[in-house]
Amino acid sequence: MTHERFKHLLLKVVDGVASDKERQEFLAHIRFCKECRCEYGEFKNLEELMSTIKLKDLSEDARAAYARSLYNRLERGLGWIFLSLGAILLLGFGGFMLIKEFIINPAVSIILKIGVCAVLAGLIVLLVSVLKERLFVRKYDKYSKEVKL
Amino acid sequence: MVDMNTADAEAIRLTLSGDKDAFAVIVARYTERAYRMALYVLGNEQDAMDVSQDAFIRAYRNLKRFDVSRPFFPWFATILRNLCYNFLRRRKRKQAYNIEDFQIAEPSSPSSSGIAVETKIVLNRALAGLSPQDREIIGKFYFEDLSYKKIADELGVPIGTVMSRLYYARKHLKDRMLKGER
Repeated sequence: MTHERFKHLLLKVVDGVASDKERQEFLAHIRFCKECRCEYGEFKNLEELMSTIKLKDLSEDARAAYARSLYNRLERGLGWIFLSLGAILLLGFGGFMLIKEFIINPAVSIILKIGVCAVLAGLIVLLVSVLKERLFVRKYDKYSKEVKL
Repeated sequence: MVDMNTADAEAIRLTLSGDKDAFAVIVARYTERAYRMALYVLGNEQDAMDVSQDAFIRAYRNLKRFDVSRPFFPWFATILRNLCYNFLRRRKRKQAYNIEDFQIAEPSSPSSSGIAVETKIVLNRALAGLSPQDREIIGKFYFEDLSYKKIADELGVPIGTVMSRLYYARKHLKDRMLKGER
């Protein structure tokens, strides 16, 4: 039997989930294994300490404030969605009209028109690239799976 | 009519059919657990409040994807864990626990309360120094009193992995407590 198995048994004995056979086996082992005996003692001490510790409960006031804040955030979320949609539509339309006026304006030099169009095309490519990257990262987010120790 | 006796699956069905109050039952039922779970990983009360609320909002918006034949909390816990670790990754910080976040169970005698406060400080320091993953498993096991099986279900890993992580988390905690006492 490997030493690793006794570490596994140690946990089960400390946590009180070992069978009688496993418990006897472990207790017999620590009679001659100093390392496991020391570790068992330390784990038992930690166990006793942890059994006296507890987290504070959330007070009724804190729970009520939590719920209020949560529903406010849910409502605000809807507000942000509408606001964003509206802003995108208005800015998109405004931008389109502005560019249209700019392009058809005969007073603006052709070089300037080409320059502005190139800048806009660059911005669109960058925007699409960032969006693609965001979607890719979201899809393959390493934290969406188990986080390794 | 929903109340605190309404089962999760029923409350979710009602929420999906448009009864927004039904989701309040789910929130009330799991607020404490969600908050604590976030607190173990993030180690900060305000961040735990914000991120656990984000998780409820995310769960509410994705409720259609939830399989009502399965228990709600493990699904929700996955969302919450992802948000917690994403939060840590974004902020690149691991704030320490506040000493006030813990309290010792009733001391048995006036003399023991002094020891308890000392121990509490050492323990808080030790917990603050652990990795979020260690704190998370310690929290689930000791403060939530969850079995190996339940922890395994919540983390989506085999029981053997839970035992192994718990072993090392306790070892790290013990080592840090010893360092803190010196």
